[in-house]
Formats: sequence, C-alpha cells, structure tokens
Amino acid sequence: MTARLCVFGNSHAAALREAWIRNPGRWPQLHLDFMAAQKDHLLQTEVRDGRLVPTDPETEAAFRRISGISSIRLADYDGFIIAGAAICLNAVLPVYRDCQWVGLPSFGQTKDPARQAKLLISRAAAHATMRDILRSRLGAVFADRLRQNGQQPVFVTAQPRISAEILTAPRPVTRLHNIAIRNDDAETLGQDFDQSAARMLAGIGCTFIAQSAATVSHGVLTGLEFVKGAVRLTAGMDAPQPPSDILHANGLYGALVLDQIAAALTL
Amino acid sequence: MTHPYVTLPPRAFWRSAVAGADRDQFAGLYLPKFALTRDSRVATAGSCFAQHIGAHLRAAGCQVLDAEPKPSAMTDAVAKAFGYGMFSARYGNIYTARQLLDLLNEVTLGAPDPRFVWERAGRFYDALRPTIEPDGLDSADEVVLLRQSHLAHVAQLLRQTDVLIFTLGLTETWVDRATGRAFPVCPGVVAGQFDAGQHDLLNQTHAQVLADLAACRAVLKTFNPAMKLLLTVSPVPLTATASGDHVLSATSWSKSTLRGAAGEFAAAQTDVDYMPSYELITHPAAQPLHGGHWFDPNLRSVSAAGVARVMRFFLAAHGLVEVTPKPVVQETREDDMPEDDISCDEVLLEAFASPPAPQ
Repeated sequence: MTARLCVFGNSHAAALREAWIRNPGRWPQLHLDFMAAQKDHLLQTEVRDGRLVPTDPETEAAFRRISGISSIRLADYDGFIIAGAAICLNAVLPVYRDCQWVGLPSFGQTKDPARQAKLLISRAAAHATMRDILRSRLGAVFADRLRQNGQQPVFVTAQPRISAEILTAPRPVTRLHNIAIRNDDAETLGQDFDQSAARMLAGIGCTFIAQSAATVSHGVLTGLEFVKGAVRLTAGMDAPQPPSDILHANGLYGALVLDQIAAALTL
Repeated sequence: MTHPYVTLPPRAFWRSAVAGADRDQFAGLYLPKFALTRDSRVATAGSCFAQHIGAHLRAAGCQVLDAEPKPSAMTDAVAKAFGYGMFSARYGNIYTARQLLDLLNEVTLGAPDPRFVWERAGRFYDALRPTIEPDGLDSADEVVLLRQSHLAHVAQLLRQTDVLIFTLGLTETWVDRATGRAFPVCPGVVAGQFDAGQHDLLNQTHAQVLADLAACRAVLKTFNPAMKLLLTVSPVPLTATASGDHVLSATSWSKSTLRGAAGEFAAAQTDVDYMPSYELITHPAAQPLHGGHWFDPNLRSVSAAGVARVMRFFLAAHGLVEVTPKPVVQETREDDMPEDDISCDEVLLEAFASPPAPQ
C-alpha cells in the first residue's frame, strides 16, 4: 500500500524534496506532494470546505511558484509532514543562556550549585519552558491547524541543527553552541530539545521526527556532509545555498528524514 | 462628668465610622504604624490571597523583592505554573504561622531535610512546596538540591527585606509527627502518602499562633534587625476541614483565631502592624454599597473587585496612590468563573469532596 503524504514546510522542505527527486524508488510505500514556501507563509492559510487554501494572493503565488500547487483537499492524504518550520534547537537556546539545570554536565562540575550566576531551575521547568517556546513556532501552530481539521497522522521533523562549520568558523550568533560544546553540555542539550519537542507535539496529537543521530555532530550541530551542497527552496531546486548558509541541510539529510518517516508510518 | 469616650475620635464610634460613614473609604480604618514607601524593600509571603498583594504593590511602583525571578525565556504562564512571581521567593503558599516559622528555621540552618521528599508515579516533589513543580522532579536528590538553592535565596531575600508582608491563611495544618514539620497540604493530596501513624492534624490555637508569630519575628530579626512585619488575614474560607466541624464553623474558628492572634501580636510590637483586609472583604458593613458581596459565585474566591478594593485601600493608606473613584459594581452571575486564577494549593482538596447527597 502506498501512503499519500503532503509535505509542508518552509525553506527546510528543500532537503526533503531534493531527496525525493534524486532517489526515485527508494520509498515505494510513499507518494509525496509538496506544498512549501519560504518563511511563514504556511500560517497564511486556512481550511475552507475541507481544502487548505492560502488566505492572501502573495501566499498563493509563493506556493504555486515553488510547489506548483497552492491548495489541497486534506481528505486526499493519508498523512502530513511538516518539515523544519522553526522547530529548532536554536529556539530553546535562550533557556540555556540564562539557566542551568540538573543533568547538564557543566552543572555537575560546579562546586556550589546553589550560588551560581545562572539561574538554577529544575530540568522539568527547563523542559516546560522549551515546550512553551516551541509551541508557538510555525511548525507547531500549523501542525495544530492540521490536527484540528483531520485525523491523519501529522509528522513534524526537526529543523536541522546548524552546520558543524561553526567549529572552524564561529559566528557571533553561534556563541551558545560553542559554549555548550566547550562545557560538555551539547549532547544533553540536544536531548533536552528532542524530548521537549516530542512531548509538546504529542500534546497536540502529532509526532515529532527528531534529527537522525547519524547526522548530528557534537550534540547541537549537523555534520558537514549533511549540509554541503544544500539547495534553495526554488521551483527548479537548482540554486545552491550561499556559502555563508549554516542553517540548511542537503538531500542526503533529507533522505534520512524520509527514511525515518517511512519507518514511523503505520497506516 | 467625663469619661474616656468623650475624647475619642469619630473612628471609634460605629455611627460615625461605619453606619454614617462613607463606607467606600472607611476613613481611619487602617492607620499604618510604619510607612511603606516606594523605596521600601518589600517581601511577600502567605496564603493564596497574599499573591494579590505583591502584584498590586508592583503595579503601584513599589519595590517588591523577588529572590527567585523567572528566567527571561520563560513565559508568564509557565512561570506561574512553576511558582515564579507568586511571592518574593518560590516557597509556594505558606498558610500557617507554623509553616512560616519552620521555613525560617530551615533557612537559618541552611540545609534541607531530605526526609521531606514526596513521590508520585515515579516523580519526586518537595513536600514543603509540592505544587511549584507541577511535573515533579527526576529524583529525590534533585528535590534536595533545588531546595538547598531555594533556602540560600530566601536567606538572601530576608537580609534585604525592610518589610515582610505575611498573610495568615489557616490554623489547620498537617504535621510530621517525628519532627513537627508542617506541610502546606495534606500528604497524599498532591504527592506522597498519608500515614495516620506519621501525620497528625494540628489545628493551631490562638496561643500557638501567637507563639509562632513571636518566634518568626525573632528569627526575622537575625536576618535584618530593622525588618518590620505587616500581617494580614486572608478572607478566603477553608476549602475543607479535617477538624470534624462543619466547614463554615471551622472557617469562622480559624479566621477568628488568626485575626485575634494577629491583632494581639501587632498591638504588642511597635514593628508589627495589621492591615484589615479580612474585615474589608468579610464584614457585613463593608460589603459593596450597591449590594452583593466581595466573593465570586463559589463564595470562596475573592472577586477581582474585592481584591482591588482592599489594595486600593491599603495603598491609599500608605500614600502610594490617590483614592480612585468608586468602581462600577458589576452583577455576578451564577455561572461566572472566578475572575483570576491565583494558585491555591488548598483548592486541591476540593477534588476529594464527595458530590452532594440527593435532596
């Protein structure tokens, strides 16, 4: 049986689409349609008479230009995938910036945990804060919209961690990643993010697809081989990402995500 | 012929101070012993009703201390669920004078007692503030560690505090028989297990409340000799009583005991004052001028209008705000929900109430 799925997403959907195009026959149990557009166009949609439709001409044009379709009948699909869509580790880093919690390796090294500069909070509070942050992100908001309008499974994939390139070429915005790695907190932080995202999405009846362990580097990064050659989310998928891009993953990464979804699918 | 009543001010007479007075203002009802200014460093603690005090003082520009502030990344909703910002530290509701005294003694000692960890479904809870971590913690060790941090923060708070506002809520409390330690909620309600051989009901008498308040004051002075204590009594009735009495009678008993003890203690100390929030909400003569009462339809939660009245009164007495025009009195409907959702551990007891018997 072939499952017909619609892939929604922002720019991170490009990795899945590239994988789908470049690996024909790898997932015989799947049939994928893509309805993706950059940024938060997904939010400019509504369900009208069972169809997911854009609410403004700009969004309609963006979907049509990039994906070839601008609306779908939800009942035509066996399930949905939301790719990336801001369900990312970066979003929860402010919790790490301000707080420490039991379970972080750097916390275990402190001599007097009660008197640290960072706020000491419980791991449960850290996770609750992360869930709350992620709940307001594009992927979760859109997933909830789908859930409210159908019973089909909704998979939300993690937005890839930023590129391991920052190990050799740090950027100002990746300071916390480097600190986490230096303090041996990165693996735990990555797990905390995955657990929080999974529980948050389960709370709205959706399934989180965590970033494949094979692609993760140093807990909070994506291995270079999974980001090199990433392409932009364009109609032809032929425009490479600018060299400065550390956010997007490539088709090799996308293929592993589709493997995970195929494995998770129990229709 | 002369006698002491000849020289008394109008506030001493029912006719001039109540029956014939502007009952929205109640001039002279509360004459603060000591001034609370915007420079005063205020700490708050107590029962559910005390949560309003900190919020209103902050809104009036006062310096309400927060020794354990929420992380900046945490939204207000999560912060509230985890006991941030309710009081000046994350001690949760402190309902009784005994509970406050126990906390102060523990802060002085600086070391948590690892015996007071409750478990439920594989999660671990601080028995002395069991509702501030709604999901519980991963281990008993984590509970003790976080409590140790909490104690350090409370100590720091007390050293900085000019005025501690403490709202007495209950006389009934459950205590650990071996140590006498008072719990904020009965074991087994939030977590842990009730054990009749280990847990005793203590319904504090006037003398016990008075003694505990005196002991509290003594400990507070060790942190800051200049600290002043401002007492209030929560007008919120008991959710449930284990005294064997009817809950209405038990409420009267409890509140009158607290009111009496607070009054007697304040009268005896120059650095202790009493603010009559209890009277302003519960006394028949203090009810809304246009009828009704200051409670929500459940007859337990104080309405937002009632809270606003008390706080307006309180702030005005300290010159912190001008007395504002009379609020519009709104009709309450039977199906109205309480207008705020102040966190109240005691309300958890309601979940255990049996449905009323059929008529």
